[in-house]
Amino acid sequence: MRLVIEQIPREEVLRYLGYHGTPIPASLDNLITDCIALTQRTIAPQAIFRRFPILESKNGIRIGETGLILKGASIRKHLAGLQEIYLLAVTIGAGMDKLIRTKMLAAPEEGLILDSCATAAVEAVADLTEAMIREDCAAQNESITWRFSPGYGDLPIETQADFLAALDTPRKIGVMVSEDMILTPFKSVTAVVGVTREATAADRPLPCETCASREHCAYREAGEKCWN
Amino acid sequence: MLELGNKIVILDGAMGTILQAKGILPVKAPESTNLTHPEAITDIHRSYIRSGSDIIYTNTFGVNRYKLQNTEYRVEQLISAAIANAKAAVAAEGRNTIIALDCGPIGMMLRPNGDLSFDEAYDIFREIVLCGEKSGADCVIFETFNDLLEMKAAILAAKEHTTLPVLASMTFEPNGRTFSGVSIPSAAATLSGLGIQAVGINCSLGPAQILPLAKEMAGWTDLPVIVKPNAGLPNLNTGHYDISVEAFSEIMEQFADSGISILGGCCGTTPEYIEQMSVRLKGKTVRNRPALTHSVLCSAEKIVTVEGVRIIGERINPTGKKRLKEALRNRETDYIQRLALEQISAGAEILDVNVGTPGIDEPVALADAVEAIQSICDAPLQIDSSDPAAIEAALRIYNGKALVNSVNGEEKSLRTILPLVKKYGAAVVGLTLDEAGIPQTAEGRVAIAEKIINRAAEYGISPCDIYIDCLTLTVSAQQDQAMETLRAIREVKARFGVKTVLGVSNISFGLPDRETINATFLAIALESGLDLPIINPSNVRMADTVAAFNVLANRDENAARFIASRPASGGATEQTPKPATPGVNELSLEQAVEAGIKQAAANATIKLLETRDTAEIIDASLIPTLEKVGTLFEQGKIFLPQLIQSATAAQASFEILKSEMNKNAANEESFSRGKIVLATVKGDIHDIGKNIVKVVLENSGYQIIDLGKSVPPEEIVATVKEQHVPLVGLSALMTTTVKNMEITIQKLKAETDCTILVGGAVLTEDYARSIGADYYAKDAKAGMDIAKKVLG
Repeated sequence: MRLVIEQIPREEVLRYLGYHGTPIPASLDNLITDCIALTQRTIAPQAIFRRFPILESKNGIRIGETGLILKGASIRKHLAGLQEIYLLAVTIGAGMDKLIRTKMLAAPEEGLILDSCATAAVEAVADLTEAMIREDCAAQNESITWRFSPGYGDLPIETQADFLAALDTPRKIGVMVSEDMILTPFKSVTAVVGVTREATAADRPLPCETCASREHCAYREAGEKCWN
Repeated sequence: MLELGNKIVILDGAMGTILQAKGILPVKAPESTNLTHPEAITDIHRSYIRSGSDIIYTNTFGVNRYKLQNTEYRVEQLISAAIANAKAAVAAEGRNTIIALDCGPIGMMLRPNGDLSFDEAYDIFREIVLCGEKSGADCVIFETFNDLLEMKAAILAAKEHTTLPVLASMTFEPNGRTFSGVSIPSAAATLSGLGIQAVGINCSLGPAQILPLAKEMAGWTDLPVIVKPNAGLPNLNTGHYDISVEAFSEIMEQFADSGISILGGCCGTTPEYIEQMSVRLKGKTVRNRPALTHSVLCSAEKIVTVEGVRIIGERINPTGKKRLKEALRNRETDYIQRLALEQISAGAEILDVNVGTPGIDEPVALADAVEAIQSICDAPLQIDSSDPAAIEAALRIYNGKALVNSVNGEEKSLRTILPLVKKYGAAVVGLTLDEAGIPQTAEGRVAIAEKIINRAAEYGISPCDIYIDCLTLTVSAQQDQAMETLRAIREVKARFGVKTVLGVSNISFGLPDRETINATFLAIALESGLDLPIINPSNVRMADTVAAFNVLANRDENAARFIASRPASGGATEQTPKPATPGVNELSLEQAVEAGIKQAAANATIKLLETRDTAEIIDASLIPTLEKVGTLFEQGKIFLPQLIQSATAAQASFEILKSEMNKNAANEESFSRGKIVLATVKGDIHDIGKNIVKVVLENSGYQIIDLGKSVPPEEIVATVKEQHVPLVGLSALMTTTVKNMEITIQKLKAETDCTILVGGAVLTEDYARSIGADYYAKDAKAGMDIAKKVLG
């Protein structure tokens, strides 16, 4: 389904650029504004999500009849006691990849900023999709857990292939995965959210606990965090 | 046999939808149902045949080597079972139903968006079509594709390895683009040239949404058009489609009224949909579509109709260009890509690509250049070579409809070039010369043009796809020839109505003030009927001549484009650099680089050159300033965009220093602080980190050999050996590709004595050491420090 992102959050763009609150020269500030606007014009946000029953099995958590199995202790813990989940996949499209490629050549500072704009955009699309799922669930007095993606904790990145097949993403939203498990278009996100029986959301743990970069994160070293 | 003329041909409807309803559709290898439930498949085919389908699609949409990996099934096994099921259905119904081998996209993206090469894709399709022909399919349908280049790979595989007729159908979004950005005109113009039987649109949308898209497509092709829409749009919760059988057939009738004749249904349609449609449409007259008479060229995203003057940018041609020759030999792809971008922003609409340089493998180099350029720009390309093998290599990988430069009146040329032009659906430049050389009279050149046009017609190449070049000769040597060329252009236009092309700047060779001669000659040539001048679009006088001509020839309506491009109107501010910061000319080079202002850095460099030499400027100003900026970044006083701005400001300075050194015939190597190879490892197609490091290191004075992304270990090792490179920087962003990094390091350590620096999101200092790297760089500044330590 096609989505529209009203506004790419500027503070997120700055965060992905590694901004730490130092003064930003006016010309750079304008450039960032221009890049956000250009990103807004270039992206083609798409999302797909579907609800599935889950079953514990010897190998891991089996997702309906899709053939997808989520392996590892961290996803098991994340979904403990739940009977249903949503799979979601979102992207901002291949056009943005081409724009970034082009700008990295013609004006690298713009390419770099556009890359951060694109990351902020795809996260915004994922947030919006999650909000739609949350709303669907709220209508039935349910809520959802936070988004858990392949590669988090010990959920293998190789899960991507079956994950995308379960949602038919190549056909529905144009998202595929390379042999080395890189999502294409680059700015795409896949995630699992669990459906909880209570209307209140489960407490969100520190994302750092499951982050692959936790051992060498510049934010953590500085006593900061990369998430809100 | 397959007849797709001006009559309604009814296709079938969905297969998966029915299997799903029956509850026998597995998610993995859904086509295994051909083996597990052959009767069910045959029954579905039979019900479509009874509903009126003239062509049925085999249950093989997702059967390919990639999708079947990690399953117990093989391609040949499922295709032969599927075709057997279809044949059983046709036999049981006793009709002449055509069996189309159905083939969907691979499910992995081709370069540049993904990692799959054109040749790998081609090989996957080759296996499929060979199996299909062997098992007795009547034709092949490639459907639901969204990448035009993947479609081209599939069609070439079918055409080169089988005699199966080919149908090709792509999937578009409501905006008229596929997910990968392919436009409808580009799809139609490109596919129509590849020797297939029909082209069309299927899936994603309902008939009402596809109708305007299909009408658009029909305006860009002479082939029969296929439409296979979904049964409306899906309900997001139930997955059901929203259009009734009646509504579906009602809208489908409108396709026939628009001259679209091959009709069926995709997701959500059933035999009922097909039956109603068939009853309504069978025997109905399809409106004739007028034959196309336009001349078009295109990339995957953009079509250029040759009406009025279109500039072909001439700068990607190494003749007489030392820097481009060097870039080609060193495989500096980015240099060539930048030339492409500069020409487009200067107004070129088509780009000539010529890589003919002694000492390179031209077929490989030309194909690589075409692949690199089309990955970053959407202008159609003119493939320019005297080597037919190079032309063919480039035409294969070209994602669109190209212009081949060139064929001439020589028998050998006609016989080798025209078949290539036809096979790949290109257009061609015809040079008016032959075995006897260039005729000295207009009449002689017109005669050769006629011969080329006639011979092309024998190969089935339309005059719309021929661009005659009446050849510019140097006026200082043969002064009478300029007017002959112009007369020939007028005559060729008048007699044959074909388009014309001309390289202009040779005219003034050997004369002073060449621009005046060039611009005047161009103006007369345009008035004589020149459509495609091959010029340097950055040359203001040439570009202005074209702009002025378009006004005078009443082609630039209300002179709108002309006015917008004039500085006085203020309309050109988007194209020109932003107004300089006040006092920008007073900044020292150090201040300009630190502030990251390109223009100021360039101005300061020019000023400094009055009193200091290049080496001094680099050693005393540029490098210390970038190091200072690096330190500010390290201390968190500035952030990454500022570091990159400083590096690009330094680049502006370096460019001036380089041209200064070239002027003095100094050896360019002399100011390199040393060579560094950069690459992302095999499998890793994220290259932004590597590119950031490159910008910073390059403008700190190092010579960077950028091997690009997803680079095999062998290529890295070979480059290090050949060019005696002391430092290699490798990047990997994924846990899955770090293993390739380790393999690359092992190979480098075993075969060379270079120092290895690694970086990437998943790496740490310890991890880097554990896979054998000498250094780990957490960011671009760390990379600078390490380069300094290793190379000085």
